[in-house]
Amino acid sequence: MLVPPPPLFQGITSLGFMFYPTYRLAVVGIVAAALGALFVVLYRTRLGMIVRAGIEDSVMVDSLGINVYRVFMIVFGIGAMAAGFAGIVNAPVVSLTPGVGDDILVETFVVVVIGGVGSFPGAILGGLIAGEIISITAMFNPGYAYVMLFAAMVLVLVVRPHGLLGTQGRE
Amino acid sequence: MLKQRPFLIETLTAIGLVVAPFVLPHLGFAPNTVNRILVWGLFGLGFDILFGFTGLLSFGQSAFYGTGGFVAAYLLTRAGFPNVLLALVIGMIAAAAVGYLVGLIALRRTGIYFSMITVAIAEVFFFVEFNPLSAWTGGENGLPGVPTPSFDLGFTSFHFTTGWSLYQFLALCYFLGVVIALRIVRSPVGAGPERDPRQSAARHRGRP
Repeated sequence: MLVPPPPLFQGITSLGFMFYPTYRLAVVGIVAAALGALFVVLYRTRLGMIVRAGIEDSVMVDSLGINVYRVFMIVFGIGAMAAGFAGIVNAPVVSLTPGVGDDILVETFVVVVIGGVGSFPGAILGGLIAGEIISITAMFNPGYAYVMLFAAMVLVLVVRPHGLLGTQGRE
Repeated sequence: MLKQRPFLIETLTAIGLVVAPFVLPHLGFAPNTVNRILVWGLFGLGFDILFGFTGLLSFGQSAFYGTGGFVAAYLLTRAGFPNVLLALVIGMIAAAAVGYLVGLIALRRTGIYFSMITVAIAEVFFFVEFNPLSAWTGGENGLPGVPTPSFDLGFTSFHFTTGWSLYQFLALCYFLGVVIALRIVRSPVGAGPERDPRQSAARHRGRP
């Protein structure tokens, strides 16, 4: 199933040195805005503060009269919303199939593990590294692209199990 | 229970396996379903020793399942190996050797990191099998035409084909698997890796 990009971002744009689909350029901006919004929620609001405290010591936050369970439920909802938003943004780029979720699940898992669990810059760094590994390996031999990706994941887990930018000691 | 009736589980398994072909067809079980149950049960036995008794949650067991299967299948189809049983044993040894190498890497970490390493290694195996090794594994098509086991004992010969005939062979393998698994669990090696490594009997006996 093919989803057309919104009318505003249809066509291609000249970047001077190459032509690129306008929608893919727009995706960069959309994702940056979404990431910024999530960052603000997590690090600059009361809700984000409760979430971060709840991860560190949920019993203590509970005893301060805050319903950690409900807050975590909200976080789960926000996470599901972000995943759904990513699917919407990605829909015009890829063709939608029933297996579209399996692919992204495995790839994002690798990205988060490489970058570091619980780190926003880590997720971006992990995404960059994973994308470069797949693209550069595919230039030499496409068959080895995912082999190299998961080999890199094993390497990161063995050398730095909490990820490149992850917080130490989070289990 | 174990002290009073030392071979209770083995006996019950044997009885169940012998009775199954006489009872299950009347309950609507196709022989292929029963055979699949035995194969999955055998896989589960290995997984249970690892996860149930040592607490190591490995998602990479499928890699060893595939290694054993593909080595045996390759020997029997493309390499023209004549002896089915020997090919199965070689497949098992290959899977064990690969498991040892994977363990060298994965067991450097414990807990969720161990699980994630095994996930990654299983994915590496999948993609290696799928593309770089497709000349040996058949890639997307796999290896069709694997022969069924047959034995010539001189005075008589067995040939297992499909359905309930193959069930006899699988039931024997499954029973051997259960006996070996229970033997491992009841041995000093099995008494060692308990769920909580800090309280394991092996630690108290000075074993790592």
